[in-house]
Amino acid sequence: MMTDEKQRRVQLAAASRQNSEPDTLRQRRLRGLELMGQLPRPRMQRFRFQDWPLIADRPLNWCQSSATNLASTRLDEAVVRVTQLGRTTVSLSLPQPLRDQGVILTDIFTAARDHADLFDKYFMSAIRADENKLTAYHQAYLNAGLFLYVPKNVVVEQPIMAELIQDNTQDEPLVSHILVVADQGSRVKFIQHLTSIGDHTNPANMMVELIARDGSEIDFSSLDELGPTTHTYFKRRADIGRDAHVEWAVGVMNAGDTVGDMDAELLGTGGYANSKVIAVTTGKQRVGINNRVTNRGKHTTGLINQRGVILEQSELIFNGIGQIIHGAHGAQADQQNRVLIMSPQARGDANPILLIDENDVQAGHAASVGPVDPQQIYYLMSRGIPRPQAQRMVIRGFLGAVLAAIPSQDVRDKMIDVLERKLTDGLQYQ
Amino acid sequence: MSKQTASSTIDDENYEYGFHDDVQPVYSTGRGLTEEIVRKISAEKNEPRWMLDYRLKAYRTYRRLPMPKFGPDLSGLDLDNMLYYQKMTDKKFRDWKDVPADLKRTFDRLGVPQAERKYLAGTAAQYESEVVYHNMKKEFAKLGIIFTDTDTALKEYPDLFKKWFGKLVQPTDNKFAALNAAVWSGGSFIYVPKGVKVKTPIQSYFRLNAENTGQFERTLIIVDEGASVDYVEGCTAPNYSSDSLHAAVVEVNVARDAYCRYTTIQNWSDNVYSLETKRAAAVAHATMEWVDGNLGSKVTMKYPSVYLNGEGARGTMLSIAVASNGIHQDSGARMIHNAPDTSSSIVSKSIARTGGSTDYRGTVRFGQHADGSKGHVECDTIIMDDQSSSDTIPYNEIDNAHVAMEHEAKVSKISEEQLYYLMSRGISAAKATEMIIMGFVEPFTKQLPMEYAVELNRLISFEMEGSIG
Repeated sequence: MMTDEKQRRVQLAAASRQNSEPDTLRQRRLRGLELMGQLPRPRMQRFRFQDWPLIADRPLNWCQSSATNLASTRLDEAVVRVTQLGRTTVSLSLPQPLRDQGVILTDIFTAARDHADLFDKYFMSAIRADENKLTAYHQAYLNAGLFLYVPKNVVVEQPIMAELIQDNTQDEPLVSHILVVADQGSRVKFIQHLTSIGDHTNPANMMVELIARDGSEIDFSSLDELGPTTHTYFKRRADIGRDAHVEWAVGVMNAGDTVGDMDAELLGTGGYANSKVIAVTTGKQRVGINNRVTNRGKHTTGLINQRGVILEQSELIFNGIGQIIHGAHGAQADQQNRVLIMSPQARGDANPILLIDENDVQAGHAASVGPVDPQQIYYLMSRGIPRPQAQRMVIRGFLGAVLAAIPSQDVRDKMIDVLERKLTDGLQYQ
Repeated sequence: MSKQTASSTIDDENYEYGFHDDVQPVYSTGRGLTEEIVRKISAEKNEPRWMLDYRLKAYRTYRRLPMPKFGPDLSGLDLDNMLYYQKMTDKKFRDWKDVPADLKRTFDRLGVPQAERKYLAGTAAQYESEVVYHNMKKEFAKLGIIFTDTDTALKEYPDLFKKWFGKLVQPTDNKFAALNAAVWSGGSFIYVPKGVKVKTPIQSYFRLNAENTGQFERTLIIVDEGASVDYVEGCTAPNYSSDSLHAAVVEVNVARDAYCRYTTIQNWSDNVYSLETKRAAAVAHATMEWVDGNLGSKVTMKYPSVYLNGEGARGTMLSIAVASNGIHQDSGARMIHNAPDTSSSIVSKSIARTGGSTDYRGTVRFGQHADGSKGHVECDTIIMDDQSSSDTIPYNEIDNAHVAMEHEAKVSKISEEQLYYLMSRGISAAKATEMIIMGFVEPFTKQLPMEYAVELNRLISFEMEGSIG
């Protein structure tokens, strides 16, 4: 055991050097490795995933990936596009006007080298390596990711669109970190699209940190569409400053088992977070999602809106957690957790949890679980629409609140495509 | 003569049942719990062998099980210093005239005999470990209703007792259910025969008197086909500087088409840990209603459940909890839908003030066979000041596509709009606050028998005194 541990340290340090990483990052990796040995895996209320293969016992390496066979990227005026296949950045270009304004968009390792001050200050500052075994693993074996910095008062109009493709053509985990720092008064929209190619079984450890400094605005959308052979652990956390505003719009459409945390920390007075998540599960898939908003600052607003559709023999657990810390006068917390169960073998939870340590607040939650409203189906059928289509329309309406919030038409259409495909397959036998 | 023992009682102007009478038990097992004490309790009660075996097995389970891993802090509970069994009289009485004067004085002060005369079908009164008074009015006894204390039931109705005892709550369920199974004493046994409907409530009154007392009431209710019963229990204790424990197990079996309402007005003094296991099973078209008022105690952990095991069964929970300084009310309900077309409703109201905590913790589960079932949950909390807190922790577990479940919760302070509206009509802030609170708990109080509603309103207004600075 001891030599194993030592070997891992030596290997990790060597791989870090090979990647020309600064000493600080190398130290963080070694610290992560150390913590991995000490910390337990994370747990989730009402959801067991202790036996999932979420850690790949493989050394960190940088040998050639299959990145070359990727189709060429599209040039698009409306969005800024960046593509990563596995740990390789395939394309990344930031329009000159944004560069001139001081916007930084690089892969995560370039950020560690070239923007050390920002990187060291913010990387793993919202999510901490010592939270659990999987966050420690993340810091130790990080192998992909992006860094975006928007300077004070800069408004980035075009959405930044990241295509992150997991390379399952080989045995390699994807340990990816997206770090977005919006400095005071700035505004930015970030969209990530997660997919995978190949059919090897691999874990994906996907983290997102949003640092919304005072008065800034971040819209973060994510379409998660990882393949059936991927076991996903994701953690997405926003630290929200005074009068800052964060919108999460996340579609969890992975085909494989997935467990994840959404977190919004309302730190400064007047902060606002709206966390919208939809999830559709099919086959024998199991998905568990914690969606937490914590009001710490005065007059903060934290909203959670989760919608799930459970098909076939799948399982979906939504834990919505609204917490108001003592001293957060005038805070508001509201959450909606709604789940449609579409098959007799499906199972789901909608657990809306409120933890309130302050009296000058308005907090509420609502949850519902049930089948599709038959009245709505009959209404549509009476207008000549066949049942399967009527069912899909009702479900689309049900998920509409989150779909509508995605800023890019392109991603919205993609999300609807995935949804249609899942619903068509999942409702087939009915 | 009863006298105040100044050493350990605490004067609390806000708790009117905190008085204490100096009564010596005729038998006590002393402090702490061993296997030997479990044997002594069973021997003192002259129990059949199977009950002793049951107790001993439960005692070993109790030793093995861990403390609850969730909810309030129980680290202050000194289980080694408790008095597990104290018998105050050698007999049980059917007439208040025969009850020893010092015990009767206690119940007089609590108003139990008066209430019985006025509006109850039957009354039981338990003092420490044993029931001291038990009576049912003749007209109800004639209907074949059995209403007695649980120890007597074991002796007089052995078959009926053995058929139902411990069927819903196993000692392995949790540590305090195991403790109760090991040292249970007293509690009510009620059997309502087929088709018999008792409209007038039956009441049990539980009183803890001595310091560091454990009360392990065991209640078993069987409502046979088409029958109905309305059972009410009340609980008080003196204020002491050190803690007492009430760990009851209640099992309610509601047969086909039968109806049971079980109302609890828990008003323990704030040195009592109230760690209860209450469970009901309702079969086809049966109705089980829990009405649960938690006004007192130091820590309450209580999540009464209804297992909806037959088609069309219905379960409801209507509860209020009030917690002030140093009090943690962790309560809720569990509705387990195991059969088609069952329905459940949980309405929980709670008020946290002057540093108290009120938590709602509950589960609604729809099993594979619960097609066409419905569940509704509503939790409302008012936090009155900035030292108080409230958590709402509901679990909604769905294994069935053909069910409908709605859940809503709200947490807020007293509505300023309502307050200003009332004050603009010349009503003082204190009175206006009280009116708003009364309106808030009204859905609960209006479900109580008139006399209880009046009493509860009085208690709440008492609790609210001085809440506006």
